Parts: sequence; C-alpha cells; structure tokens
Amino acid sequence: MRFILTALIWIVIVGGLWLYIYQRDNRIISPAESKIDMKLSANEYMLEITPTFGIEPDPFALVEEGQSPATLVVRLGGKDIHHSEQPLARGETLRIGPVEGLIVGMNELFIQASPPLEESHINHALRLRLRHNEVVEVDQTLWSEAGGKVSGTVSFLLEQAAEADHDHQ
Amino acid sequence: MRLVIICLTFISLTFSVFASGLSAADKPLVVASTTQIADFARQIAGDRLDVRSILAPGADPHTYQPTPDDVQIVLQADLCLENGLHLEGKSWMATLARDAGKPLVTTTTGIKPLEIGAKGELVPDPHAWFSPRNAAIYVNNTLKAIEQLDPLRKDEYRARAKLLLQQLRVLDAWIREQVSLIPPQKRILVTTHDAFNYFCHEYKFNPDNNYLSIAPVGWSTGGEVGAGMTPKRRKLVIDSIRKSGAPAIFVETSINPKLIREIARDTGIKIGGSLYSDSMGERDSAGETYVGMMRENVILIVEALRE
Repeated sequence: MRFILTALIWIVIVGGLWLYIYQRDNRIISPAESKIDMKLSANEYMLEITPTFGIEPDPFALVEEGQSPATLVVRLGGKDIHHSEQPLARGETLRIGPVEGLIVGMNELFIQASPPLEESHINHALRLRLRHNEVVEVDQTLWSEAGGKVSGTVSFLLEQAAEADHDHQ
Repeated sequence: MRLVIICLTFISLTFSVFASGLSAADKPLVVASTTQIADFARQIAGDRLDVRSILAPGADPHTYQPTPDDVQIVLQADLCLENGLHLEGKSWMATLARDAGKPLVTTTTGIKPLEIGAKGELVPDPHAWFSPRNAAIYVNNTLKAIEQLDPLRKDEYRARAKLLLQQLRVLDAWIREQVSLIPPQKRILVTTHDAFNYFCHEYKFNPDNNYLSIAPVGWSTGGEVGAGMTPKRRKLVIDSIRKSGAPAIFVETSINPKLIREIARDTGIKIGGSLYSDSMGERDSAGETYVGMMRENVILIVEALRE
C-alpha cells in the first residue's frame, strides 16, 4: 500500500512539474506572433536585387528531391518568398513583389546567392533595395568572401508611420 | 525512513532510464568502409548516430582483408556505406553487408568517374573524393541514406549537411587560390600512388599527362604500393621520375620512407612530404577530417612546388 502511495505521490509531483513547464512555455509569445495583426500591405512593397556577378547553380548545393539546386533564395521572417533555379546575369535587377510577410517593427530578410566557381578568387556583392511606393526604405549591400556564397541577413525596422501614411492615401 | 529509500529508488530508476536512452548502444549504427565516408556521415549525423569506419587511419582499402571484428560490427549495423568504383578490393564492404543482410549505399553514385588504365583496360578511378565537387556528391548520397534511416530528424541532418557543403565550396575556392601560387609550368604532381587524378584534373596539374596524376612507372604492383621492388623496377622508377621534370615527389603516410629516401637521393629530387590519400589521418592529427586532410595535402604540395 505504501509502495503504491509513494508511486502516486511521485507521479503527481513529476506530472505537476511537467504541466507547469508545459503551460509556462505555451504562455511565451514570440515576437513574430505578437506582430501577427500588424502586417503591412504586400502590394506596396517591392524588393530589388542586383548582383555584381552572374548568379549560377551551385555544384555544392544540397540536392532537393525533384528540384534543381536553388540559385537564389530570399527568406522573410523565416519563410521563403523567392526560390529561383534560374541564372541571373551580372548587373541585372531582379524585382520581387508583392512582398508578403512584412510587419510593423523589426523585419529580417535572408538572402543567399551562388556566384560562379570560376570567379572564386574575387569577392562578390549583392545590392538589396526595398521600395515602399517607389520610395527606397532599405538599401544594403551584402558581400561574400572569395569562394563563398553571398549569404546574409538584412534587418530593418518598419515603423507604424509607414502604415499610417498608407491609411491616409 | 522507508519512504525516503523508496523515493530515492524511484529517482535513481528514473535517471537510469533517461541515461540509458542516451547511450551509444541505443543509437542507430552506421558503418562506413573508409575514413572519408565515415567523416561525412559523422558531420551530418552529429551525435544522433553512432558512426564507425571499418578502415583505420592509414589502412589501404585496395588490399584490406576484413577481420571477424568487422563482421561483428556490420552485423550490428543499421546502415552500411561504401565508396564503390572498386575502391574496396574484391568488394569487401559489399560482401560484408550482403552476408549480414544489411542495407548498403554506394556514396559515389552520380559521380562521373575518370577512367584510368589498369592491366591494359580502362577502369573507373575510385579516388573520387579528391575533388571537393565530388565530395559534395558523397555528402548528398550520405545525407539521403541517413534521412531514410532516421526520417524524424531529417531537418537536423539537412542543416548539418548544408554547412558541410558550404565548407566544401570554400575549401574548393581556397585550393584554387593556393594552387595559383605555383607557376603553371611547375604544376607537376608526382605521387607514389596514382590516387590524385581527380585532384590533378580539377586543379590543372600535369598538363602533359592530360591533367591526370603521375605515378612513377614500375612503382606500384597494383596491389601493395611500393612492394616487390627489384633493381630493374627501381631503374624504371628513377627514369620515370627524372623524365617527369617534377621538382619534388610526394609519398603517402603508409609508404616505406627508407625506400623513398633512396630513390629521391638517386634521382636528385627532393621529397615534398607525405600526403593523405586512401585514408585520413590519425585521431587528433591535422588530417583527421576530410577538410583537414585536403588542407594539409595542399599546403605540402604548394610549399614544395612553388619554390
């Protein structure tokens, strides 16, 4: 009897602790979730990407089932918004729009592009501009070390004012 | 008091159950034939899988004879990985896996092999890992096999594989940059074992030999490298090295250094150093990983040939 009682007490203690931790973790709201109702209008934003190199398929890419290796990947807030398997010529500007997923507050874009291996002895750059109704909101350039992919994140703050302006138009 | 003892017993039992859940014995076992493949598998698997190599560092896959211990390891394996292209002499890894009824994956699948002459016929060169581009194919094949073995951790394995592939890309660029320090006319790579065809082809060594590896004529018996040296064959080796015009010759870590020193003295050519070829370096050595092995080889080659 005592043995069963001890086991029950033990189960209650461990179970209670688990329940507490589970509830506590569920209560934590991620920054992305907290902004869920503060999305910006995707139609007003346009992303422009201009490489100083010809973007080509990467022979060192991870082979995805049923698709060619990506030449250019653009991710916004953890979600792919552009995944290209096509080459892009040096100096040519790629326009991506509408830009889905922009929020009021801190946004993060991840960009990865594959320069030609034959040009691995030089550094490469990729210019990224985010336009809001033709006005450049973000303008940054990412650089690669020789041989590596151009890969990096661009963080930027979009203010509530941007949305307010939109409301008045 | 009795209650305390019972509680303590419960606590210790709980901990022992968790601890045993984390032990290596409960992890799926991946057995690779060579050290290079085992390294790729380890880089992808992290601590999730138990990865072992049949070959020890410095061992020769061409002439290796499996032991009863190897049979036992393969019997416990959940997945077997081989190089293929006849690197494993008499297909010993395939035989081990087949006899144990274990799944076997050939990690060179999809590589376009270079062909080399052997006994009057053309055969595929199995030393494909000497090109980092091919190493990327090894990694993709290994990843696919591991994903099938443990699909629940697919994302984790893919994340590690992506990092490894980026390292291979940077390694490739670094090799190109280092090799560019050697004047093109001095890019003559003579090794005691013609394992470096893919390396020569990728980085443009030995233009007079169709960008393929040069091994002294008469050096290799086709079995154990450098074995069975006779005065006649020794003369062939010396003449061949002189004819190549190489400023240095390179040996492997597994080659008898005394014989090499004698031949180097007779030819008047210096020894560039010992290269990692069929297997990687010992644990805690600079060449214990694929990237480390390639890095150390390139540093030796560039140092010896650029002067």
